[in-house]
Amino acid sequence: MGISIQNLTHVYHPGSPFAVDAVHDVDLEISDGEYVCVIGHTGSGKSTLVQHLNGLLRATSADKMEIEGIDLLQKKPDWRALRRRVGMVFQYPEYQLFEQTVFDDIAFGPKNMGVEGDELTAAVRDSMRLVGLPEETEQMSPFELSGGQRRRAAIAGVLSMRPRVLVLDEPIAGLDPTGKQDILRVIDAYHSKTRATIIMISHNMDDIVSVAGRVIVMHEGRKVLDGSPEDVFSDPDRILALGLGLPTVSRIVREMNARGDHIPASVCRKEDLVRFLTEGRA
Amino acid sequence: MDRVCVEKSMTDMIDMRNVSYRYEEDGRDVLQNINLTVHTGEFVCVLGHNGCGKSTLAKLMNGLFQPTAGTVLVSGMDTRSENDIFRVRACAGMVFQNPDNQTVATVVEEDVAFGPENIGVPQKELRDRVDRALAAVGMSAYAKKEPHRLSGGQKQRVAIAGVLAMEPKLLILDEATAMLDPRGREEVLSTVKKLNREKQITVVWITHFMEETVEADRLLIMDQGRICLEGTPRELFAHTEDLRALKLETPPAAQIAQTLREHGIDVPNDILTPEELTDALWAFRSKT
Repeated sequence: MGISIQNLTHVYHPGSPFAVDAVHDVDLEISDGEYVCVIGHTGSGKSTLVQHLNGLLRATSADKMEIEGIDLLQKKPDWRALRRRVGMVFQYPEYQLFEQTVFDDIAFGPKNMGVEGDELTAAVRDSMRLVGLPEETEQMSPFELSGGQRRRAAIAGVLSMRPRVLVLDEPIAGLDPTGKQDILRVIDAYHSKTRATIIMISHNMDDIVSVAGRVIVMHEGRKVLDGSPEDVFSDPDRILALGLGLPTVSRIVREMNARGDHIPASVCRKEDLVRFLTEGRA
Repeated sequence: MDRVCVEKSMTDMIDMRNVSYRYEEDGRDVLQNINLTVHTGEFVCVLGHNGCGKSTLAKLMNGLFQPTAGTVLVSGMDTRSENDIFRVRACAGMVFQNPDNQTVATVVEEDVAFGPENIGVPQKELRDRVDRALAAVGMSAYAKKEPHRLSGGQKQRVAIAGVLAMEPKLLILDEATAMLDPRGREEVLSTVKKLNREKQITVVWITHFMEETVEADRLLIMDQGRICLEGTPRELFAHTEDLRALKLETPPAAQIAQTLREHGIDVPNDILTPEELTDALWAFRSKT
């Protein structure tokens, strides 16, 4: 069913002196099962954009807003169904853990949707397995977990709803390298197991090129680039002009080419670089 | 008024001896027997996985926490001394992770003035200090702006200016770049490096980004409340396996270099930065 958005505009505080045009005329088509990363510097509109996907924000204007078969422009969209289908993991989601036990926290979403008994237990335990939380943490307080475990518990709470679209706003910020890899593996496992659509906001270009099938670049509320990582990063000067960073490999390729080498600019991952250097092709 | 930091005939900015710390009296030690000296003018990075005690260590360095055992001297002042605690905090400025939690005023220059005004710096000197602090972080043009309209990197630079206006000798940054975009991270890191280089401000930089540490004078790696490895970046990043066991990794350029070597591409094994890797690859490409 996917996501189909046309001419989405969002203005904060419309009609007031504080009006801010946060998202402007964005078209977005995302098919089921895509893994999309959204990048852009602070204030580029990326968080505002993704918050429309589960109805947290409503478009100031749009010509089309169809998310997983639900038309958000109709008078009374089925918000409940939308939020069941689109799961949202916010920045620092571990600050939103609130129940007495890890189990209850993860169970909160499905319970609200009327899941109970064995089915609920199964949903919670499945999610815990997915994120790699050992079963013995089930009856612990979320506050007894380590930082990385708390983040995984928070993500498990969203995965327990089995969303068809998983939206994550900087899910790896503030984690140590291992914790970061754990989270990326969890997202990858959910993606490959359920074929859910993944939409992730991130600032870490090295991670993005290794996980994403598609990269969307936001700038001043507009979608300015949209394509495969190879496409998007093959114009490194444009990316830098947009105030963004390059993947480390792209940085090196750009510098090599500036010195007179001829490495294709689409080489943005270390595997690409190895292949180019050993086989002479990108 | 008196100089905020007391000059002592010693060159150590921080001197921690047998320091332990626990949050609750009957709790476990989250820091265990730390012995650490940070020299004046040094740029020290602290690495370690989530929960290893980095932030606790940072808070002991400016007297936010007092050691449960042992002593912490900051510029020669004992952080447990009630007479010295305000001087300790003025001397050791701290910048935290979230830029939005560190703003107190609605105008940038008032935010920067908050600290020195509180300790009674006279008006004329206050003006001077605020102007100098904003200039030092490259934010003079934003003096009259509203902090909430700035980017993350700009907000963190204002937070640093607020600390600089106290004329500190030591800056402690606890994951100050964690919430920033790549440009913001670069702005903050280069600002702090410049302050270290040009104003000889001692820096303790805590981070999860390995690439931010490659130019440090010294790295400290923490695990389970102890400092378990210590050395120059080049020394420590040579221990790939040890780092992995400590839930850390080598910087991205070093990882790429290692992958290249595994595929028979001859680049040195001590590469840390993209610049070094570019030089090595350039040499490799010129040979083949």
